[in-house]
Amino acid sequence: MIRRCALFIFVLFFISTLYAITTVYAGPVNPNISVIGQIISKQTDDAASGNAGRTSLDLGETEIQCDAYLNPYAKGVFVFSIDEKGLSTEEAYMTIFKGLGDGLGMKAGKYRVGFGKINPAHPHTLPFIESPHVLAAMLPGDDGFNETGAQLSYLLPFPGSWASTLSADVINGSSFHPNETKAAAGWVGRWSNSVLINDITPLEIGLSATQGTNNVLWGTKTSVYGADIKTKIPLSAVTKLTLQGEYFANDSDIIVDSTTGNFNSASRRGFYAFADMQFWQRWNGGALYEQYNPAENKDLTNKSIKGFLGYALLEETTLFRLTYEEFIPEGSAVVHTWMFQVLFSMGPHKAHQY
Amino acid sequence: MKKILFVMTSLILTGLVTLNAAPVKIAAAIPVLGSIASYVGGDKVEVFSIARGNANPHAVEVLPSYMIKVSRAAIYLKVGLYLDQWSDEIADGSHNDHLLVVDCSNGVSVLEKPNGQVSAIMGDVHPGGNPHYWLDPENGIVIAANILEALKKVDADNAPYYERNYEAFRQETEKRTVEWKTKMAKLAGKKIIGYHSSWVYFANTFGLVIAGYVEPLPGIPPTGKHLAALIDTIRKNNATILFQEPYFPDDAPQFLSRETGIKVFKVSPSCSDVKADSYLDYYDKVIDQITK
Repeated sequence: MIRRCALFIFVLFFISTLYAITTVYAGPVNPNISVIGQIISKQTDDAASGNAGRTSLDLGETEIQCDAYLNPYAKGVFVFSIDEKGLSTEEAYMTIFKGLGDGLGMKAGKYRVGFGKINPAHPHTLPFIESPHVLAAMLPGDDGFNETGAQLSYLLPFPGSWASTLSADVINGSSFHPNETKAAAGWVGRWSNSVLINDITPLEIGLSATQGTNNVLWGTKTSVYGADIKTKIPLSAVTKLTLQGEYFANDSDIIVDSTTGNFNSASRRGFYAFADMQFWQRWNGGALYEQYNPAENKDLTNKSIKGFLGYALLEETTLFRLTYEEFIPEGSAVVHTWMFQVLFSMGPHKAHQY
Repeated sequence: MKKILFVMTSLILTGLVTLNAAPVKIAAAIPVLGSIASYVGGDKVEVFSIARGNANPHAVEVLPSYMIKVSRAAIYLKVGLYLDQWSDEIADGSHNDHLLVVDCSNGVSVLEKPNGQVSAIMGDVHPGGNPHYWLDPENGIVIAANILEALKKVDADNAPYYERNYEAFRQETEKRTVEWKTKMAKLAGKKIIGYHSSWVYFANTFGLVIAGYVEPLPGIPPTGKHLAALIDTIRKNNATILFQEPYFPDDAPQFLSRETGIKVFKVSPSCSDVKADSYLDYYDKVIDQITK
């Protein structure tokens, strides 16, 4: 059934693309090219890191983003990341935003999956340096939930300022079974809603779900469900308060005997919530709390409290961020970590204030 | 049977007429464009603005709620000249196949077009020139002409009505420009200070001279050294007014006011709403304030 849906979406996608290409000639265009680099200094007492008690200074992930309109109906985006593992294609996708019919949009390629609020965002756009631990614990994928797939979305024709979008993705599913090379497709569904409370205060509420095969040989599944909420409250012309939270539920069938395929079902839960205050034109500060059941042992609960401070110099071309985290893994020693980050960017895509 | 046919035909025709009478929905990036659209469109358009009048137009957040509103619009008016790149995101995100996007900067007289290569060493400079062009009433007439062409495309049946309104706007703007210039004549050559380079067109039109800016370069916050030099500039040029946009912090303007006695005039470079008279009344308000 999933394969038939995938085939249908790809056929629809290619027909739409061919139609757009044959009816319009866009001519040569130069893409927007941006590069975002970062330097990170870290001091931690985490014995497992190998750097306990020492201050490290590293060049973090460098991101190169290219994007351009392909024609009046479609846009292409490429994001390459360079880190200690080398050069990789983080994202390479095409979106069709016009020509499919009012409200309809399509996306195909490799992209950060639109599950929740933080996963689709690039980490440098967050008000803190690293993504919450709960995302890595709950969502598939070693480096974020990032998949090759195709998405169909529909902006529902609701009245007033209520923007409600339904989207459905068919994905390659390899994030669910990274150690296996056999294909087993997965899916993602999302219903996102945004409404203006007054002229300028948005309230965003979303529901997400995904399912994939965590063991292709035995066909066992992992399902993740999520709910998210976010609002940005302008307090004055230069100050605003962002409140955001996400809840995750991960239900997985875990193989306990690889010769017989016997499995146990494991349910894990987790959430994060943060408040970020832009308290002056270029300054922001806030706190994040999270707790979750780790993948290694669903009966434990890990917690983390993080404080963060940021300064955006010169129209977001240069950002300074400082975070302090107290990570409290159940049954293990508490880990204290200081991190300082300098983000710098060139080109039209800046290292945004969140 | 004939009666039923007659009633049905009347109902259908009434429905068609009602459909045709539905106002043309126009989304404007900033209230200035919306106000001019309301003037030209009259009672045949329904206009809303994405940015508020006192918001920083360089940095409007792209919200899904704006996209759904634009999804119902026939026309989107963008500022252009790289001021509102967020407008493209909103227009694309609306998935509106029938949306006509109008770049209102087409045909305007542009000031401060950079020569040679543009780079971030110049600060947050706009490569197409200074984008605050609506602060020259002559450019307001060009904006109105662009809006007129768009309305004629989407609602050709009412073209004569829109043309009459455009003509009325053009004449009213020209008449009031003469009045404004007369009022401003006593300030001809007067030196002013700007926070950001929003007021170039206004100064150029009404004979004011911008002696300096609080920002050392566009988008760059002032340093102590720059403010010290600006104090000298204010005193040497006898600058008496500092134009400050409401979305910039007060500390530097208040410091300069304490040190030099310069009057801080906190004013948005845009009118506050999309009512038909707002754009022209905005000039009245600003000129009344600075000439009193």
